[in-house]
Amino acid sequence: MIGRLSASGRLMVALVGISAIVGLIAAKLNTSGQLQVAAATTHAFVDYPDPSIVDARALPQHEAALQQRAELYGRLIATTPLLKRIADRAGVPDDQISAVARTTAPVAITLTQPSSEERASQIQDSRMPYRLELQADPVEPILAVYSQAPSVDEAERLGDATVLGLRDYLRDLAGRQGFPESKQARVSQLGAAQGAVVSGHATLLIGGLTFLVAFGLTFAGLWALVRLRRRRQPLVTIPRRVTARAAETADGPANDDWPGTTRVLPWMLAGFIAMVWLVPFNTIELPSALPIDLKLDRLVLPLVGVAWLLAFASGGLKAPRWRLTRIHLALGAFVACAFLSVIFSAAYLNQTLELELALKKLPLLIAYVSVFLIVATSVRPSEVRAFMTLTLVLAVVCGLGIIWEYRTDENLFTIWSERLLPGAFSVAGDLTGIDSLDSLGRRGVVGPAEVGLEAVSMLAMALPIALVGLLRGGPTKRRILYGIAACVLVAAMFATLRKSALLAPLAVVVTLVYFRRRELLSLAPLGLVIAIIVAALSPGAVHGTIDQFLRSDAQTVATTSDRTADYDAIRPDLWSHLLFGRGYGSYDPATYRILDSEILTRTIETGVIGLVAFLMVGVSVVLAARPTIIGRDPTYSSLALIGAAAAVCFLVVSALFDVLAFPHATYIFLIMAGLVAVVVARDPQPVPKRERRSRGGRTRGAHERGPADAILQPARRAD
Amino acid sequence: MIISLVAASVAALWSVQRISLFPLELTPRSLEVATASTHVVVDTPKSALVDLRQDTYGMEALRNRAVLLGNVISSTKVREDIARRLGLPVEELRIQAPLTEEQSAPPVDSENARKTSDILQANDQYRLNVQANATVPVLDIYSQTPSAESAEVLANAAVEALRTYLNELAVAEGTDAEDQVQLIQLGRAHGAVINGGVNWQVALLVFMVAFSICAATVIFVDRVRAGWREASLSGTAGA
Repeated sequence: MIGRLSASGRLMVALVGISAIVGLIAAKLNTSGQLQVAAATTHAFVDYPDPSIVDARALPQHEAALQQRAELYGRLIATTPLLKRIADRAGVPDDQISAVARTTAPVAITLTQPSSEERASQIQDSRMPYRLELQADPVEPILAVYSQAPSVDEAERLGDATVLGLRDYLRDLAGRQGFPESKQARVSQLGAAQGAVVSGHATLLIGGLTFLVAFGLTFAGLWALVRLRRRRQPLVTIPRRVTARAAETADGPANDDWPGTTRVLPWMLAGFIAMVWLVPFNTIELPSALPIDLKLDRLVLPLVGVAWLLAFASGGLKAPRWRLTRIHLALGAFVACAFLSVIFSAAYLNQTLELELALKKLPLLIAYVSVFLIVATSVRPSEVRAFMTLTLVLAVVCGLGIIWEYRTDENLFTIWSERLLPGAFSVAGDLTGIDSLDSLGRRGVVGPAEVGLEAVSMLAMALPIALVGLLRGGPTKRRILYGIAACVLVAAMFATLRKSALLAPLAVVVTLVYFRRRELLSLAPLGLVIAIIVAALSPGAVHGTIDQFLRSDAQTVATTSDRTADYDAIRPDLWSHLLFGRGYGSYDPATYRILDSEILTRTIETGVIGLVAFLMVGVSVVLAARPTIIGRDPTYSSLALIGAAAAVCFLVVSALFDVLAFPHATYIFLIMAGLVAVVVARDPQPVPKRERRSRGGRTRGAHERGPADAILQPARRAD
Repeated sequence: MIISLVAASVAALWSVQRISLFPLELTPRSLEVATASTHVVVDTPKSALVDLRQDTYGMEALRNRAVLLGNVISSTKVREDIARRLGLPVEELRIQAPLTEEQSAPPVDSENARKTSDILQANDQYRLNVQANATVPVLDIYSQTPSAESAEVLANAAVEALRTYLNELAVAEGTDAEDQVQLIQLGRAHGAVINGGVNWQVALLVFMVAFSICAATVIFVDRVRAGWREASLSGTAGA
């Protein structure tokens, strides 16, 4: 049967076969060893010998004293002498057991976040196959004991042995001190430990994921090699279909471009962009019993995805088109690193019961990337400007809403979402922002975002659209409108009262200065006008923001010192998983530290290689856009410049907060990146001879390729 | 290609070994991170662990005492004793005293002040972190050093030096044994390296980075030279 296939068919079968073999070997290797994890639970009750605390005569202070004993005994169990006794009683090796006693009392979060030294100890303990976790009830004298072992029987024995081991230790201590047994604290077990297997499908999950990733990467690698080899062969024929399409997109059927089109996909995309800018979708949820939260974007995005697939399957000239750019490669590399990080640490994550967390985050990453792919394939080059204009309009509406929130304490986005959405949805946003004062006493002015920093990031990424619009010149009326838009965006950023309101737009301006020094200099007087209007729109906000940098304790306020402390505290995580990290999405801030930096989160979760891949996503947008920007194409260079500035802004805010955890900002960046991909991979337009001559010795942009390039380019894609 | 390979190999070797030319020798770099921990209950002679007559106020007093003793560990005298037990110059030892609700971060002018550049620091540090539990009189002592042995010695030395200090103080002030605070060390510290095999990872990473940079530089230089050649040829042809 294979003999009947064409050469390309046989090649495909060979690639699939080799990839499948590699995938199977990788899956086999990654699932070798003990992957079953069982857990058991029991509770210990700390009581007076006689009369019991349950007795009606007991006073509240008696209960408090016993609760403190329960907390103390939890700490006691997590020490070597107790663990040895427990291991002896449970019949498990005493050098393979570890324990952690969690702080359940209401203390400041900075005291519960592990320092570098404590984290190093936690990492060592987390590798033990037999583990105990002790949690004292914050009110009652009850100690919860959670045990973990490779089998249910061992986990239950370990749970039971914990209480017995504690009793043994206390009895021996009392004996050594000559303390009468009748006056000792009584520790009773509230029922035998009940266990179950908690990683029943670990082999299947790890094996399946490993196979898929190894298969996919091998296939992609081999396919790239084949393509490279073919590219070197001379191209002689250009399919008529492709040239027809090239001519169509180059000249642009103006009457079929969005918004003057009946194509469904661009309209759905526009709707999605509007939702990202105006709806607090991350706080809107459809209650369900599914393992994932049904947030609004997770309901809308699949619809867009299905429409995209249908459009793709239908084919024809109006179908989405693949245009491979550096941005695609960088995003692909990052996704590959994310999956590899989970696969390499799969056994460890399974042992620490964090595999499920990572497996839930990977589909979210795919969802992010799918937004980029949909934009990059569905939008036509001639539609990019319209989508940029839509983005700016929505950003201005969003900015006005944020300014309104700053001035009136009313979050219109949350209020209107609650009113307009059907009752089945629950909206959890703060309507006023007053409830969420931070440690510096700043109100949570957030607009449709979840935190102020996210709102700043969103607006800052839209700011270059307004600034580049001003730079481009054109009719005065249009320039005034762009100027007003810039004022609203900057005023809205300051209205969030975040320090980033200075840093994020600065990143945008620096990028514009780099590429368009002279033009931007001519706008300097306008800066003064903008400053005055901004101060009028958000009174007090500019001063309040700048003051945060100038106050005497600027370096020691919690928002700064917490961030700075993270850099030292994560060193054990970095050094223990240097290359690929501990697994994408596996670092739970609630368990470890709240890291206010995507750079640090990437370093921990995806290692140094994953961090470089993440940074390359932003850098690739700038690199891909650069030739078009410096080519000064009258139509596309400004669009590429907007994308580059947004990418630099995204990289800067990545150092300020965990941006991937906040979908508004991430979606906006990926939409911008998708639009840049469309611009830089557009089909070359035939450049009139006169125009080419006038461009003289400047660097040749994509649009300035020679006629031979113009002919060959589509043919290469046709491969 | 060969130039890039050689340069990358030298860089990889340099990343894991200190290279000395006179005399020619290689000294391993400290890339490993070792940890050890021990726990101390601050107790009364009649242990509060079993004696239920110690009420919440008694426990609160002991907890405050634990914070105080944690701070004593970072004092000059005890610090010098710890460094001596470890055979280390005292200035190489970094001790973090317990943080509390009132002092939740190290002072900015202290040796423990946090900086973003901390992430780039070498691993040949001798660090001790003393934490006082917020609710019960327990001191958690964590050490971090380049080797398992030194981590173990450091954590244990902290307890021993504190105990020695308290004993000397009791003798000097004539405090009765039954009035002294008791330090119950709950098991000796046991050290372990958390990033075994890190040398290979670092060498591989540095090799890849150095090779990429070298290869890119070689290609760039080659292209520049080709450009010059082309320019000179076209100049000759034009002439």
